[in-house]
Amino acid sequence: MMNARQQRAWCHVGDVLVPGHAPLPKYSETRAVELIPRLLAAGHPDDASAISLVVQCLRVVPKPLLAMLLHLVAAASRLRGAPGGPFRLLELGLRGVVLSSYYAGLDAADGESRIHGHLGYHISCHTGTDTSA
Amino acid sequence: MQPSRIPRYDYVIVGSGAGGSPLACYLAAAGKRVLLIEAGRAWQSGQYPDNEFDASLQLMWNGGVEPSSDGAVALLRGRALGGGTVVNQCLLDRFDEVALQSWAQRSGIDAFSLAGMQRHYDVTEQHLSLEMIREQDWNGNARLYVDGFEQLGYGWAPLRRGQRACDVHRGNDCIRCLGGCPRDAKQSMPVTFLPLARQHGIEIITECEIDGLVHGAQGVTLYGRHQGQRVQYHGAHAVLAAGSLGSTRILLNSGLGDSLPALGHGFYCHPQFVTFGVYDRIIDAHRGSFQAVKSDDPRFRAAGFKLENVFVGPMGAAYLVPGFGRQHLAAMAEYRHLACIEVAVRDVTPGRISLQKNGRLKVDKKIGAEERRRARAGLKVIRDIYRATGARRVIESPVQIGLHLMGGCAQGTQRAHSVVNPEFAVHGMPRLHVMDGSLFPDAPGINPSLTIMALAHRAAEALLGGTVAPVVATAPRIQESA
Ligand SMILES: Cc1cc2nc3c(=O)[nH]c(=O)nc-3n(C[C@H](O)[C@H](O)[C@H](O)COP(=O)(O)OP(=O)(O)OC[C@H]3O[C@@H](n4cnc5c(N)ncnc54)[C@H](O)[C@@H]3O)c2cc1C
Repeated sequence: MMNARQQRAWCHVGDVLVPGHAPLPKYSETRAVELIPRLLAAGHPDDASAISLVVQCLRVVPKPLLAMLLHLVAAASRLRGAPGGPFRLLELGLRGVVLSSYYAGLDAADGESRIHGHLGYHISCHTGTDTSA
Repeated sequence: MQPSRIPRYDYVIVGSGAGGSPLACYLAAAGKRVLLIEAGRAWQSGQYPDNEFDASLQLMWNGGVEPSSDGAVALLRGRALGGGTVVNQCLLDRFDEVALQSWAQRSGIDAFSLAGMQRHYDVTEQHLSLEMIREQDWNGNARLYVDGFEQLGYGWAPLRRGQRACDVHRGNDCIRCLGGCPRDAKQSMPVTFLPLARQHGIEIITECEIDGLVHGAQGVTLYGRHQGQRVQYHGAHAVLAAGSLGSTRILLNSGLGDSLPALGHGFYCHPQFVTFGVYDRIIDAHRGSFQAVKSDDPRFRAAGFKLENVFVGPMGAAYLVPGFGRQHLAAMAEYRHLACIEVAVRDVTPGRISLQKNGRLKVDKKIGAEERRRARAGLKVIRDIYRATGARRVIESPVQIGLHLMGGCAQGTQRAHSVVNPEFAVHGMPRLHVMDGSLFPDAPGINPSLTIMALAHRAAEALLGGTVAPVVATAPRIQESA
């Protein structure tokens, strides 16, 4: 479970990574943040604590500055070998979690994902009895 | 001897993937008492998650991705009854002479040859339904791939997949199978070897993670956790089939690193460099048989790469498309206009699997200069294909993916360079065996899982000391009504 403060912190970072671009909504306008605890729980507890701490710290960084910081992290993550390592892992922790929760397709209570709808992503698999996606 | 120490099983097998399940099946059919232990859970085909998010979380280790120590490669491995075969694409190719010759050279095992492996492939394939993907089932991505190959004069071939009646013409989308096939069409272990093994009496324990083992004169004791409880199992023999990372981890955690100098060395993963082409027209690369054709060009083989016609769901695509913000959203909004081709590199720079002080797995895997050279050669061909077929833009992912996890417990004749002997026993431990992708002496540059299954047949013959025939289903028992 995440408390409201932690949710706000993830939405703050999420809105920089996914600021919305019509018709795709921005991160905090979806229910994506609700998926993050499950995502973190599936990984190693040390990673979950580390990334949660980073996100709490980033909560106080103004969005334009945060965007700049994240661009720097992305650039540094392209450094080969060990020097780029921490930045790649940070990218995986922040970008990986935010994008996975946003594009999961679980953003709507009725099961009809708005985000997948906008992408045009529908798949089907007809089993013997049902014909659902 | 205390009664509890008497080995209960002839064989305890850890891991139910491409190596563990076939071996369990052959041993049980030969009358052996077999226990199969799996860390993941068992699924009915109708219960597999119906979305990418839950599939990642519930069917994969670490919630989907395990990064190498410097984050250069994102490693994926299945965690479910059936292992990687539940989440894989089930493309099943035999190895060629190039791959087997290299293995023979590295391992000192002459049987690694086309002739030596043929019987093992033949028997394995008798348990599987194998189909070539037909042209009428191609989607936009496959058509574009073939168009590009033909314009540029490169060789391609239809893919051979383990599948039965996918009914793509009825509108089925096989991308769903990456989260477990809901119609039992994909030839995963729960559809092929496991039902046979069950008929021949194997016992299965799922959601049980083995942490270590003790090898003794009478047998092997394995210890681990089953749904939170500490447990121990005893077998006259134990077989580690927990995959490259899993089996290596168990051996390292059992303190065998010092006595087995090659343990954890020689890790390979066929790193994949993913690209997207953006087109004005709709490609719908995620529909139908989303992977239908492959490169089949001796020049690529000689250059150490192949080009894969592939695609991913929105979560995967978002992770692979670089950047963030509005540009990233704009790229994702064109999801239906994206084509995808990746370079899968036959890697030559060995990685290393070890344990951190806190017992956590650490995988050092560098993308070396030679891998980068091979990737560059493949990426150039891909850019040419996209250009020839009218792509408006090419997106190259900075993330490298490793789906074929191989090595760590290499098989060979010499203890200095290998962990497992030609008879599939760990050097110096006659009752402990390994049978999975960790045995690979190097990277073949070809999809590994059919060969892992074929090695399981070879291992069964080594353990049983004779020829092993294909396993047939026992006649269904007629239930008497009450
Ligand atoms: C997305 C994806 C697509 C792929 N596509 C293809 C393809 O098209 N063709 C191909 O040939 N290969 C493909 N592969 C690779 C292929 O699936 C693997 O190479 C193959 O499954 C490896 O077999 P294995 O027996 O070594 O290990 P696995 O199949 O991974 O089985 C190991 C099992 O051991 C279990 N285990 C691990 N540790 C423990 C423990 N401590 N205790 C108990 N159980 C444990 C795991 O949960 C797992 O179920 C793909 C892989 C992925 C992830």
